[in-house]
Amino acid sequence: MSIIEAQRLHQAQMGSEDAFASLVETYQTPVYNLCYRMLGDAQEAEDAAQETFWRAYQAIKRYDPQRPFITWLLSIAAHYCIDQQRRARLPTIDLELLPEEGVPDPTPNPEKMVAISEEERGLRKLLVELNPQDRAALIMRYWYDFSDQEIAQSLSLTVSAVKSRLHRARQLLAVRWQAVQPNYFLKEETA
Amino acid sequence: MSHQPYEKWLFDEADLSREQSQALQAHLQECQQCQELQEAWKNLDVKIQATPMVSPQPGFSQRWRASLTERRARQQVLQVKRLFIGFLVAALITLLLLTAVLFLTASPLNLLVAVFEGVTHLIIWVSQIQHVIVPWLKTVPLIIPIAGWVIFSSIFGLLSLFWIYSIWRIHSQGVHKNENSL
Repeated sequence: MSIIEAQRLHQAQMGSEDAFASLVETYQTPVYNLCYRMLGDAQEAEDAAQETFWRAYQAIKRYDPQRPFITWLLSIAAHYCIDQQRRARLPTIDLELLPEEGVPDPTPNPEKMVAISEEERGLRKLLVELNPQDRAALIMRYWYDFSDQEIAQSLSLTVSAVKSRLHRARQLLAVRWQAVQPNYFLKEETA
Repeated sequence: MSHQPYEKWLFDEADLSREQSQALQAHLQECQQCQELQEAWKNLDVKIQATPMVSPQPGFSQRWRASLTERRARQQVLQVKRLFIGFLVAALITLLLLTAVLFLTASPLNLLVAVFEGVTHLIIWVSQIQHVIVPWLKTVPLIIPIAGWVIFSSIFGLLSLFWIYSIWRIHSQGVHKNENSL
């Protein structure tokens, strides 16, 4: 964490709304990405990310500066998304009903955009099949490079539980990917 | 054919010893199922690693600021409701306790007598107060000039306006913003 960021955090803890807004600006992408990977829907991810920052804003005075801010923030986001999914029972939805939504890509090549969109969709469908906590652990490992200890701290799990969840998630993804590969990635292989 | 511990080794990130690695390779050459699984995970691992982070639509922090104002207003309303309900519950409990104490310590006839006495005393007190206040009200307007009444009314009116404006500002913009602007 940079000195400026530490100063902003301190100011935010002292009640500065502007300082917290600049933290929102800095961390919007990691928080949104986690929510998007967890929930699989852009609008739900936006709402969840907004809720995460609101909860962080309310609890900022209780934040321990010894702990990395990103770990603390993503812990709030992950817990919120897991709760949302438990309430909505999202894993039981029909995977074919997921919207055909692509991720914004700055590349001008339309063919590449279609391929990325198709890959994104395939990956989203695979992730949705995981148990929410397994998914959160996997997302934290692959998109945020969190260690087992950091994941354990963020998800309130033991390190051995994290290892076991990651193992289970990888195995399930590999098995499911074998099954869906002809449908989702055939285009890419034949190209 | 048993796939353990090879299947476990395929999905664990722990470094394998030389013997374990050799045993895994030997198993993979014999076992088509584990070989396909390893291949599948390798491909997927590469795809996941290559998948970038997704950013929200532009203007996320502006939307957050706007939602902050709304959430604060909602929270204030909720706090007022909670406070009101709290007072109401406390008042009801106190009333119930007092009633219970009264009925347990005195007979209903004594209570009726006490109430009657209280009402009588109140009426007598009001009539006595009237004898003091009415002559005072008749005298004071003559002592204080009209200009004094105008100044007094103007100050009172201005203070009322300022109070209404403050309440409106806190309601619409929140407490913290007003604290910062002071």
